[in-house]
This record gives sequence, C-alpha cells and structure tokens, in this order.
Amino acid sequence: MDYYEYNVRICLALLYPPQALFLTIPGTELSSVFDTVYFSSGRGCLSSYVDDTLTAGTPAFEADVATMLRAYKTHTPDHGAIRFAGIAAYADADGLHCHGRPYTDALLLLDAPTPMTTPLTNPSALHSLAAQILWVGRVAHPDVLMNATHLVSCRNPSSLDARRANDTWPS
Amino acid sequence: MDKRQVGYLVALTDSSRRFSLRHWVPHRPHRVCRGSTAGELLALADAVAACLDVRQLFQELLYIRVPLDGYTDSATAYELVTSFKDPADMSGKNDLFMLRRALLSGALAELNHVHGNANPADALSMPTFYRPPPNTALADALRTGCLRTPVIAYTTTDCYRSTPRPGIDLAYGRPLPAPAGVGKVSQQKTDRPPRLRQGTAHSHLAAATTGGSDMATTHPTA
Repeated sequence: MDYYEYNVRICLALLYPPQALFLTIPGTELSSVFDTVYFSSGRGCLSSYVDDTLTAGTPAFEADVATMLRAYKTHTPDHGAIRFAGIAAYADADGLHCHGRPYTDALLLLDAPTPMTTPLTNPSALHSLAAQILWVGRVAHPDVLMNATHLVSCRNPSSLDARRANDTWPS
Repeated sequence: MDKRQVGYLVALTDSSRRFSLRHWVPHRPHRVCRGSTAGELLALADAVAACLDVRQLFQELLYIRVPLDGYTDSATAYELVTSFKDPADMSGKNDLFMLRRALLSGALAELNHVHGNANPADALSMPTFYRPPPNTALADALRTGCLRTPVIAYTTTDCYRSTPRPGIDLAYGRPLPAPAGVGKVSQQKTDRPPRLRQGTAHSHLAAATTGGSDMATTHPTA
C-alpha cells in the first residue's frame, strides 16, 4: 500500500461507515433510508441481518458478492428457496414468493380443556405461544398481529384463550 | 380491549393487482386524539411518512420514480384532506395540513376513499376472534397474493388543483350532487385498477391505516 492509497483509505474511513472498506464491489453505497441495506443502483442490493446476508441483483452483481464472501469463508451460499430474518422465500416464473410457513408450522398448540371457562393451569405457556405468534406476525403475518397483542395482555387466561391461540392459524 | 389503536400498511402493488407488503405498524396513538377523525388523520400522516422512506429506498435501488397513493376508509378524513374545510377537532390540524400539502405538491399523487369492508388495514385494529371479526381483505390478499381494493372516490394531485368535485355530505356520509355545469366528476364506484402513468413500471406501493381504518397507495413510474 503506497502513501497515496493509505491516505485514500483513511479518507474513506472518515467519510463512510467501516463496512464500506470491506464491501469492495464498485459503486456500492449505503442506503440513505435503511442502514442495513447497501445498494448499487440498477445492479443490485445487499442486506445483512445478524449473521445472514441477503443479496438480489444482476448476475454480475451476484458474482461480485459471491467473490467477496468467498474471502471470508463464513457464509454458505443458498440459492432458490431461502430463509432470511424469519421469512422463507422461493422464486418461480411469477416472481418471488415470501411466507412464514416454516415458522407457523413449528408452533406447538396448547391443551384447551372444556368447558371454555376453565382457568389455565399454566398461563405462561399461553404467553409463550402468544409471544411466538407476535414474532411471526411482526415478520410475516400482519393479519394475526392483534391476536398476539390481545393474548399477551390476558392476565387470567382461560381455556377459551388457549383455543383462540390455537385457532390463530387453521390447521 | 382498548379501542385506541391506529396503524397502517405499506405495500407495493402493480396493475395486475399483485402486491408485496413492505411495512405495517399497529400501535396506540402517539398523542391524544379527540375523536376518530383526528385518529384517522394521524394514521394517514404516519402512513405517508413511512411510504416516503420506502419510496426513497426503491428510487435508490431501481432508479425509478414511485408514485404514492393514499387510501382511507374514513369519509370525513378524505373530505377534509381533499377540500379546504376546517376540521371540528383541531388536534388533527397539523396532520391535515401536511396531507393537503403532500397532495398539492404531488408527494402524495392520489388519495382514495375505500369502503371499510375492503380496507386491508382493518385487520390491524382488532384480533380475528373478535365478533364481528375484522374483514378478511388482508388475510385473503396474503393467501392469494392479489390485493383488490374497490375505490369509492379518489382525488389526484391534478384534479385537486383544477377539477370541481361533488364532495361528501359529512352529516350522512353520502356523496353530494355534482355542482351544476361540471362535466367531469372524479368519482368512481368500480374496482378501479391502479392508474398507469407515463412510463410506468407496472407496480405501485400501498399503505393502510386503522384508527378507524385508512389506507394509502403509491405506484412507481420510470
């Protein structure tokens, strides 16, 4: 590294976030709106969530990203059907389809004894399920978000509330 | 359950009615709203502000212009934003002025009035096990991948400046008769597809709010 290049890197470090030094794809910028999205206009974008990285773009952009990530040996490429930040997605001729089914299928249902007015012996199980519904709802299912909000705030849940939690997604 | 609830949806849609949800927020109002109209205006203003962020990202990524359309199921909020009447409740006045300026300047290209039964943001206001339950517009849209929102009335930036409208009788919630001598009325009661603009990229972005319930939409153009 000569003196000129050293100075350029120092200027870059001052002007841009440190990630810019490691994101060596030409023309890539940090989005001015969302600070987890890097983009190259008209070519593609790259987003990170904890230890996952999601990219979308032209084949040339994808090749650049793959070359860059190979240098770190921390990522396993995943093409086609992917999971990222609580969303599962697959692509077909119609476009990209996103859903949360792997996560909704993993929810464990509660016992709901009759009559429906029976107090639950373990309210924390309901609250735990409500929190899981809340997480899935926040990421992929806004239609059931209010169910979770209501169930979490139940102080003396009954069997009816367990039934409501179980019925959030029809089996 | 506490009835104080506002929220909105932001979705990217296209002329074939496919849609992609970009953002949704149900929450308690950030400030006191003395009446449902102020809540509707607050939610609609929040929706437009969120849409501007999402639109900025699309413009950075794709280098295309993305028109923003707003949808509300509140006849009062629609009528206030698209006219120059003063609201009875002054607590929503800042939001109202912001929305009027957005519609006048073109930042909000279009404001639509939709029926509450078709507003997808209705699901953000109550749980599905309530009786009566929220409408199924959002659940249906997520299941089918298509969002259909029939529009009762709409006002665009252009006709807001220049075209007289019949308006809505706020006391009864029904359209007023068209003013005499008006040839074109910007009212339509069919399921209107998103309006294509010159050089459009066949997609558009939608945001919906609850507080009561409102909804806002945008289309991207090249």
